[in-house]
Amino acid sequence: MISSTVQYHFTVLYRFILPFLLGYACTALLASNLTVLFYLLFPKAEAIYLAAFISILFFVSFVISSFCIHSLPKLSLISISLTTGLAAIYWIAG
Amino acid sequence: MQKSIRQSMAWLHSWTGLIFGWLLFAIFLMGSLSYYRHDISLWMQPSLAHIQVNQDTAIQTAYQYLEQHAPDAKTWFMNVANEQKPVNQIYWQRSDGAYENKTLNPNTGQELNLAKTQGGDFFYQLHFQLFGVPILVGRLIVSLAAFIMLIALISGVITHKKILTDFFTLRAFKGQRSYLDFHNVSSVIALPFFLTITFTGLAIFFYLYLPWGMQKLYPENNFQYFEEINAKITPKIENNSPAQMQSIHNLMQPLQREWGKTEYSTINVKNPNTEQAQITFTEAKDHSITRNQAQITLNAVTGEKLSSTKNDSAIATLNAGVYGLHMATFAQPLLRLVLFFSGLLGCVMVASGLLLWSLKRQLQTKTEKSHVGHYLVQRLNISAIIGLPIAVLGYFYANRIGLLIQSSQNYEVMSFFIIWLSIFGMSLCIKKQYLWKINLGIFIALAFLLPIFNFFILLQQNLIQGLVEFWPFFKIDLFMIIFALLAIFLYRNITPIQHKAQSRIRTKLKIVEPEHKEEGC
Amino acid sequence: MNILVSFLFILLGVWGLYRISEKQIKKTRLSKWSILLVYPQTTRVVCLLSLILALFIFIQKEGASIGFVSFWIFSTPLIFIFILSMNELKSFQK
Repeated sequence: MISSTVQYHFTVLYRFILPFLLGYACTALLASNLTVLFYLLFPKAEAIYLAAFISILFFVSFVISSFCIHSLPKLSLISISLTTGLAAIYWIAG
Repeated sequence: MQKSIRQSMAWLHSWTGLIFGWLLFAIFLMGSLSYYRHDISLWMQPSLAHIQVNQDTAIQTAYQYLEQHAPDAKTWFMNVANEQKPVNQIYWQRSDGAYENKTLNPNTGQELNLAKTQGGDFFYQLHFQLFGVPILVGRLIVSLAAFIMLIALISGVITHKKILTDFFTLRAFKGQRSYLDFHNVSSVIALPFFLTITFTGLAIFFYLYLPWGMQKLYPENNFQYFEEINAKITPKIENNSPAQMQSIHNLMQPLQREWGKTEYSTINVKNPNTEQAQITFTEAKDHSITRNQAQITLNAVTGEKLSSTKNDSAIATLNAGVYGLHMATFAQPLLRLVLFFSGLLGCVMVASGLLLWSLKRQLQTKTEKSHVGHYLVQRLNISAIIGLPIAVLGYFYANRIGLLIQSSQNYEVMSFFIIWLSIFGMSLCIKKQYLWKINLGIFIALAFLLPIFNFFILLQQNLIQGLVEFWPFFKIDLFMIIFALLAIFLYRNITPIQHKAQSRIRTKLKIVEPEHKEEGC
Repeated sequence: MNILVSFLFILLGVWGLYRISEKQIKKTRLSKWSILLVYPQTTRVVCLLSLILALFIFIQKEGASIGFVSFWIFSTPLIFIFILSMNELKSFQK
């Protein structure tokens, strides 16, 4: 039986890993997807910069929001769904 | 997990603030010093202080040097000498693609053999890419720290329930409340500055941690991005044959008609001594935050004015604005001073946060038994907050000692890190009650002695003849004296601050001990 | 000269907001500045207008972008000095 202290430490570790690592993965996918989208409207360099700019704001929001969600299963579900969705768009967009 | 959003944010703020606090303090301090990096470089290269800059002569000599030494280069770039940096710095790209650079005397065009000092650029580079690690790794670490800083700022704002009510509150010498008030005041009044500087710093290095956009759209050469975000795409030049460029005097005529008497920042020549040679003059005065200094481009062979190649699209302007806001090249002397003050306020914010964390944990522990983690945090706090400024002073002293012994080797950077490490080592061995007084004492002594030491070294080396010539150097020394006075204020008041904290801890322990005695029975 | 006028407007605005702030309202009521509390909303608006006037002076002097940035940057030390002067900062060492 895992002691409550060890369980707490694992919870804390998970709560840090999820927003930062999964958040970074989401951000990277979002940046790529936005680059492809914006390239339809702007020249290459502008599309890249705007996509990165928005992605940084997204990453910050993702991390802050992750620490506002009390339930870990709910947080995991939202994060994984978001990552899967963005990965699917990335795969379709090519 | 904490019960409410505010509590979660407070928890996040505490731990992210602690883990990256010392690094962020160093980044903020180095960034603040970087606002005056040219002045610091001049202080550390006293032989340059006597050079009187005439920009017309400087441009003439730089142009002539490049015509003689790099006639078939692909590009020429000249950083024209000015009062802050009284040397011509020239760069050129050879026909084989490699780059070369030289530093020239602006009056004679002679190559200068400057003292081997990094000057203020050491602080500048330490600020955004650290030291002793590969450049990419250093920049990524700083980017991560900037991201954590942004998280800490936002979580801090969410946590601070009474942000407007407590806006003017500053209780001094009241223990934990004072640290908290100081932390709140220093954070809130410069919050727009902190948010801007942190976000822009993060946005400048986006290509390091989000490179996929560049890799996707520029697969052959990722860094083509930088050319296209700054300049309009120009058609590639075919069959470019040699041609004689006009003299610099002729090329500057239209500029003088359009701009009048002004100061120049840079001159860039593309494809020199060919039919397609283009020369771009950039004015020094910056009228906007988007680094949009006035620019004129001429055909260097015919003298015909060409349209600007600057990329002025909205997003390119946003990019320039982000860069400009962080670098603050638009800042005139008074504004620059206030930006420096705001940077130091950032150091105060981080420092007060670290001290508050340490004090709170002492109050939370139920016994007087020392805790290894808290012991280490206290020593790291003092090493960052006072140790780093002492190391900065050591850097300046090393420069002057090098001048005195006329050493061919440069020990400034080594001295900086040895002193910093020594302060940490010494702090590990000192009792808590003497930590602040000893370190502050060292800082005060060094800071007060530096102007005197500086004056005598310069006099001894015949770099100055008297007090009048000492003034350009004394401008930096004045800051040392001001910080020394501030340190004296802290030194005199550290005892009541510590007494208040200790009495609070003892009161808490007395409340806790009777409870423990009951449990033991 | 213009810049000093802007500083005065900033200090005036900040002083007014300080006087009608929640923590100072009792003291202001008993002082010679109680007139500020007759119409507190109006006082607040006047103070904000004072700050806007300072912003306008900066913009007129330096241009829109630099002026806007200058307003926020110059406000920092002014507010800091104001806060230091308004609070009791002496230690009560035994």
